[in-house]
Amino acid sequence: MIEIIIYGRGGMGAVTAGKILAEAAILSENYPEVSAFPSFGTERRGAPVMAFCRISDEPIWTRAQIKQADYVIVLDETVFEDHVIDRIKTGGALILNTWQCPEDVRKKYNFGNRKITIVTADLTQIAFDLKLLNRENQPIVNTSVLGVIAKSSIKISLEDAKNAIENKFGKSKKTDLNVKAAGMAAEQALVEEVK
Amino acid sequence: MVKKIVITGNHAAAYACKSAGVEVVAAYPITPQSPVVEKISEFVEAGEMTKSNTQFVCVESEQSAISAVIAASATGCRVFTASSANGLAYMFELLCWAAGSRLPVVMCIAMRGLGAPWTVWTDHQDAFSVRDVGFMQQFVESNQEIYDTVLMSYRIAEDPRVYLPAFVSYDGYILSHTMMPVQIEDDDKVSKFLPTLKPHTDLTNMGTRPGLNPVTPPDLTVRPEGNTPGYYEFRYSMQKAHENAFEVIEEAARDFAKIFGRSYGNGIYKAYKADDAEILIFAVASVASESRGVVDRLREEGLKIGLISLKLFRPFPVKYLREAFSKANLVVVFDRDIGYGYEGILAYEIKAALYPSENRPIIRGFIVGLGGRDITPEDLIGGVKKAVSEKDDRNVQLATHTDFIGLKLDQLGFKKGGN
Repeated sequence: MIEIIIYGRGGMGAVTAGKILAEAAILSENYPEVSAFPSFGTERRGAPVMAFCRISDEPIWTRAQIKQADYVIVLDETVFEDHVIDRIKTGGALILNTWQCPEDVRKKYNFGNRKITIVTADLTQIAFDLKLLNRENQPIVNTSVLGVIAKSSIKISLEDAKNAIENKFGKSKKTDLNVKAAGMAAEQALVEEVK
Repeated sequence: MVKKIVITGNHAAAYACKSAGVEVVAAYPITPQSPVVEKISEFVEAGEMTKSNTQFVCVESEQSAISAVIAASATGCRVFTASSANGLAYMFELLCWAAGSRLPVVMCIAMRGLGAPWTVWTDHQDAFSVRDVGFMQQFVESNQEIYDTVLMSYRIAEDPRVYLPAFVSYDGYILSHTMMPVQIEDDDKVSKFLPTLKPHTDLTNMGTRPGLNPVTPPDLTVRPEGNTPGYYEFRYSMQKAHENAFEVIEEAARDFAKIFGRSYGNGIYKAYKADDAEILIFAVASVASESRGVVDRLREEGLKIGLISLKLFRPFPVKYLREAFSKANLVVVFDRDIGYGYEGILAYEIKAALYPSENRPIIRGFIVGLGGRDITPEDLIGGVKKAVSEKDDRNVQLATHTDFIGLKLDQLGFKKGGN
């Protein structure tokens, strides 16, 4: 079982990202069992939010929140603090939406000696470049992040990610833009592995 | 082959209504149940429920919602409603009415703690608070089980041996808002399992239908055309219907497995690694599903432990549970509810059920996770280990206090009470 926590701010679509990820996992046929759920708060726009996702090839019976995850995805760097690093399992990975490269992220935050793979991609810039904006002209990053996931060791392909995005939003020009952003994110993602 | 779709528990309930060809839906939204109502109204609006000419009745309260489905059910329609916590409490009077009128209403409860203090998160208090209204009551562990149990409930409730309303209860948020893969079945296949409703209510014969005549006297009414029952006989027949339900439920579970290839134990309880177990966990819904991983982990430590996950709470399957617990010497009960002033509701129910058993086990109850406090595997493992280590301690056996797991009193500056 792979456990994933997604951090974001209310309105960014962290919960939706979890749902699309679950859908993509099913489509991949590598993970026939999934569960995706929000942190069950009474969410407010702009406040830090968490979403959880489990994907597995065996039935998932736990319903508890994820304390430490194999993958922690952070959609907004302003919610990323040292305590978020504690939520990553040793041997796990951080996927961070930032303009910085993994080496700089490692220097900037307190990773200690923990064996954590850092993956970065500037999803915000990709969204601005493609004019992939929501109704409030905020960049949309919760779909492009699927492209980064497709580049990670999770066995979900970019094709699965694209299909999951299309299933979720239906076919439209806007959906195509989301899919394109996911492709660009997959190309641009930087991975620094720790031996 | 029909593909699985990834949906929330609430949407699984809505899809079940669609598959079952429900004809009248009336519900009033309340967190965490609201998406059930929203999804059904979407289906109706989009013309996806035209086959049964489904009517969605907008109402101004939960009391009206249950009233509307009672009225529709009395005219012979297949009906559905859903609620949570305080909304369910507001239905109370009419729940008794639905059961007393022997109407096969099927209703979902997206379980939530009752205020005050105000909470929107899960516990099982709301479902247990309507224990004695006369509904059959089922608890489920997954979104697929929500869909499947709603389908099974119509078949059971509408069986002439039963004619009782049924609750299908699932944890708010934990299932209601969690996406899981669910297999939605073809209508043709569903109709093989679930025949068309044959209404049993004869509105032209006011004398013999409970709930329709102005008042039912305590004793028989003697009439030249035949005697009619008193209130007492009506209530006796309701108890008999509950007793009849067991065989109907087992039949439904067997047929369901045959047609759809999925099963939930015997439809009454689900046993997990229970065959050789000396220790058995007893729980429902989210607590039961969390316990499965706990059983696996404790088995690795060499404990002979298993789980009895209760699916059917009313009628209470005493005979089945005596058999299920016949080889255990310790039963650990985790209640996400409490009978205030006594102890966990499942704990005292199982104690009463096993009282006449020949080798009755030690039964230890714990309260967990009220108002949505996260229940971790470690919480449950701690409970099991405590129960094991104190099993033969006579003082613990005689103790009358209730144990709570996961309280954080020390962080509030309180002294821990009750020990």
